[in-house]
Amino acid sequence: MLTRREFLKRMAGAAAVTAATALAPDITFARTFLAGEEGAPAAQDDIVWDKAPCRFCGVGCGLLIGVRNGRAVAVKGDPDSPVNKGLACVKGYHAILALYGKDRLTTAYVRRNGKLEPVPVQEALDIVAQKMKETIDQYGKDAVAIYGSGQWTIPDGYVAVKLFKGLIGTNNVEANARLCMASAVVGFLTAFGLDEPMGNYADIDHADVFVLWGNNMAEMHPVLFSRMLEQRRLRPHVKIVDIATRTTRTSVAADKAILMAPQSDLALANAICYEIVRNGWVNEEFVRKHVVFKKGKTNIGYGLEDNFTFKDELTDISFEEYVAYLQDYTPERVSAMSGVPVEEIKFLAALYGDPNKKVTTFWCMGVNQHVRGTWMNNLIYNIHLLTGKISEPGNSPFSLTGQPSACGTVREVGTLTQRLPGGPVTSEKARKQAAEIWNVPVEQIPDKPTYHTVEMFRALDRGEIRFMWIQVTNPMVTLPKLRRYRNGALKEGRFIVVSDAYFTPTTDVADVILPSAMWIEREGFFGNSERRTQHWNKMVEPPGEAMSDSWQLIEVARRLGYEKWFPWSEEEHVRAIWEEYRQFHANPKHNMAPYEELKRRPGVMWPFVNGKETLWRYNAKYDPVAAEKSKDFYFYGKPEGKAWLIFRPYEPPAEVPDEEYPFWLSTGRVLEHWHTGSMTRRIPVLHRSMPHAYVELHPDDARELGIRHGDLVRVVSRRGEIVLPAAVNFRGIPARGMVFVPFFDETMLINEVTLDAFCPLSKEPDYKKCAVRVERVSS
Amino acid sequence: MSAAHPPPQGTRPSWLRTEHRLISIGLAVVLMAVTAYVLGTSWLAGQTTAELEPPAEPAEAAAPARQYVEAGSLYYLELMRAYMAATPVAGKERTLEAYYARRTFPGAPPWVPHEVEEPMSPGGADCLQCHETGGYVPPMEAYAPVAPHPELTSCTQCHVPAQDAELFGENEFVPAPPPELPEAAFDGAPPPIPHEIVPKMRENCAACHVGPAAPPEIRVGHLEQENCLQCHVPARTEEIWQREEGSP
Amino acid sequence: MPVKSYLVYPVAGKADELARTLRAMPECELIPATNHRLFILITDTPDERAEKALERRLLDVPSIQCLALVAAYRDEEEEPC
Repeated sequence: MLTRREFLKRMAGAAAVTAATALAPDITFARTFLAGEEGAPAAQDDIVWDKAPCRFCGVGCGLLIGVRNGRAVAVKGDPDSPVNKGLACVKGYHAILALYGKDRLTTAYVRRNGKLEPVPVQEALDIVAQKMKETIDQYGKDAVAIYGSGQWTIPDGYVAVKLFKGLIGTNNVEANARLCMASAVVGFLTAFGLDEPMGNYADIDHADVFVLWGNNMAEMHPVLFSRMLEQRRLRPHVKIVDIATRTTRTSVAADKAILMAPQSDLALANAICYEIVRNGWVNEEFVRKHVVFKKGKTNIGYGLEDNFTFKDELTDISFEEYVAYLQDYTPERVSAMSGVPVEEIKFLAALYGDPNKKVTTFWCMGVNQHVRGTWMNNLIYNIHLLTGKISEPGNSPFSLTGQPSACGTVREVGTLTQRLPGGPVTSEKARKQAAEIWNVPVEQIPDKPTYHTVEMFRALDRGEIRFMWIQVTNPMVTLPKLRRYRNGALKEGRFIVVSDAYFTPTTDVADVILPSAMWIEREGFFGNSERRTQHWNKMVEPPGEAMSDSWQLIEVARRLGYEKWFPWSEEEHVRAIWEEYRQFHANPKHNMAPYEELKRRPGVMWPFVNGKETLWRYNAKYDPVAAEKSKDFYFYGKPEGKAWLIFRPYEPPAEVPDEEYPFWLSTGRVLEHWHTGSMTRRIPVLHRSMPHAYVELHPDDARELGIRHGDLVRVVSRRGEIVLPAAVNFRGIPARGMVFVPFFDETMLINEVTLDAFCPLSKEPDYKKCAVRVERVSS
Repeated sequence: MSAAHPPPQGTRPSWLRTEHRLISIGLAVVLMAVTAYVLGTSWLAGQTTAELEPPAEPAEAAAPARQYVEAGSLYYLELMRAYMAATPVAGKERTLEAYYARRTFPGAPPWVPHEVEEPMSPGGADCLQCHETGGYVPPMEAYAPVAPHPELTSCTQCHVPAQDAELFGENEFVPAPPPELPEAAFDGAPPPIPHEIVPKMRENCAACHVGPAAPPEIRVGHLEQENCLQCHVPARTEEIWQREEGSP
Repeated sequence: MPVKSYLVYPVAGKADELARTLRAMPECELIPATNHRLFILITDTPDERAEKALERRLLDVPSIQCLALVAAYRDEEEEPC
């Protein structure tokens, strides 16, 4: 049935065809407007395709987005992307649907008398700027804060850093990547002096053995997982070993799955080193030329108390001293602690120790979200350094990232309290560089870090922070020990601004909500796990008054009187920001590709030197900086050109199960949902596959507790409790004495239960270990 | 408290198990070879208790040779020939409408319209026992569609079961309409291909176009040649070719 | 509720860019000619104000060489304006 409007459009179209025919008699069009053709489907070739990195995880798959009549209609994997080579995962294929949730925010909201009222965006931006100004006048610069995300595009994060650190003059800039990647960052900095992996995804094509340490790649990094399975299919000697506290899809697909007790990974890694030394598998030449031995402080605490501080001190030790420290970690002793059989420990050591096997280790949140996360990162590097299996194709300790631009934005731009784009805020050189590029007095840039994420929300609770702007993240679902931080945000005299695309538990605590343009509704850049920067064009218009996060910040900066520092037009600002930001990294250790190069190619890896990507850093064969100094390897992040092997001991976690709370609790993600589900739950196919959270129990524990699959269960800790359905033999099986709950479900908030203990070095909370009680809810 | 008997594990359907499936006559021999191939290749070897040393892999040789001719190849030509001869004997035919109804947009990975027996499995042999070769599945009253890319074994990466759940929120996404069925240039001419042939993903024409699981609207009854693209060419553009103006 | 149709000529060598830009605009439907570098653009806007705003945006598109209005209808029945 043709509507009247459709009829009018056809009339208009037919008139245009007639007019065109008068100009060129032979002209034909991709569609006709004649009567009797209604319902004839349009040809697929009126879809225009353009490239964009995936909106979701840190793998950074290249996608091609199909746009038709102003709307995104289809997605396919980009066959030209070296990341995914044409394959995507179910989240990626359906990513465009995240734009079209019916309840998408299209206007701003302001809370008046406790109620959110819609207001025009320009008016809301006036209120935000006004409130910021008042707060600074009344309470000082350090009373305003911005909390962003690893899903910020590079321009978003850059504008935030420039505004807050360079112009307002506060280091109150943090991002949710603190909750997922901070331990990886400090791990890299302590061991190599420079952040981010030395290798790249091509390591997958060269490795003989993959050791997956604390990450369920089948669900969290599915495309890399498939690349690994593909290699095993093509080269049948390839083996995959999974080390975890829970049996997952990854364990099922692995050639060997090793279950260990929570926190015993520290001991296990040291036991592997012990065996490597004992069997003479140390690559002595590599160690002599490229490694120095260090140790750090011990008994370092858990950050549970407000205003906790810790500063590590690394001191030199000899190889012999290092070996003496390892004597506490015999396979027998570690086996008793970890539950891993002695022969499996020896087997792992033999894999790493075999000089003829190339080993790639992948890890993610199990290692990072850990009260000793930095230590665990160090210990994995120790194994690779002892055996010299590093910085060459297939020999790669590879820290995987969770978010699409945790590397590109948070780590490279430096949207963390202690960072500037060119180095730490404590470095005069980094401050001078920033002052010069930003054209501000160097004294204006504060030289001391303020609050890391957990402490920032504690400061909000205490009242030191009065104004907080939250962009692209949902902390009222993701912060540990949630109740304290939610109550803190709701306190009188706190002003919370939230930029998002949908209502979330975080917009529930907001005083102003700004509608954000998402992903392909604006131009942007992400940077993935393998140092690859990816650009995309704006492809569709954002709905209503929605505006990109960077443009929201620029609008407020201008209202604060900083117009001079943000002079760009809306059309040109992304390019202008890129060219300004690039100056920070203009050296062969970090050079970024120019705008045109990034626009043209499906991602370019940095350091981009003399028109070429540096595929393996520190290796003279691939890295021109290393080649200047050495014939094989040169770890130029450290002054002596050597990597630091830092001995780290076992220390217990902050909370262990006891009689009252007898179970370990671990939290995490599922394949279908991205983080807190505010996007993916609005995508029907993903929601239908995984409609709600659950608590996963070991079948024997479930039986003992009289709990069956689907029963309602209460999970209780010292912080709080939630009720949710049990899952037995479902997506995974936790070890006995442990339960697992995914955190995507805003109606079953597991973070009411979790503990806000964190790694004293990285300040990253441990979401994988706290003590809970589990009981069946009688109906 | 402790229960004397293990609780029943959910309500997983038993019909997915192989013994319940009827396999078209003439297929059994090939199927055995294929099953052996699957068992040999990968993930089954990786159950938690598995030895690291892989079992000897005699099955590798038994794998049907993949007839790979750039795009449009047929992985299991002989199998498909046999399959083609087996006319649908029972069950509902899969219409083209149903084919598209299980995809969010044309070209999207279809979701799984049935429960899965092993939610912890990444896919692999669990899925391929039905979807590698197809075959009639009585409780579904239908033939299982054939996976066009059986070498990608982490099936759940893209194909997720869709439970009958209420939506979290409505979504206003509108897909592009599926491609029109092409017209041949004249009666009896081979029709062109109206859709894209995605490298590695959808190169195996037979998966959708041959056998009883193929929607009748797009089912072909001939497999004379090994390379479909010899006669059927993709229609990549609506434009007609014209000489550049100004050429001598 | 105006409905308008235009003939659109791209700047030489910018036909693809023009197609991409116009397809990204809401309220626009673009139909390419199959054998000439010429497009039909049909716009469908909720009211006169939106129509004027769209027209201004169209005039700003750099890849358009020429924008020729062919037909304009006002949908009186649904919403008198």
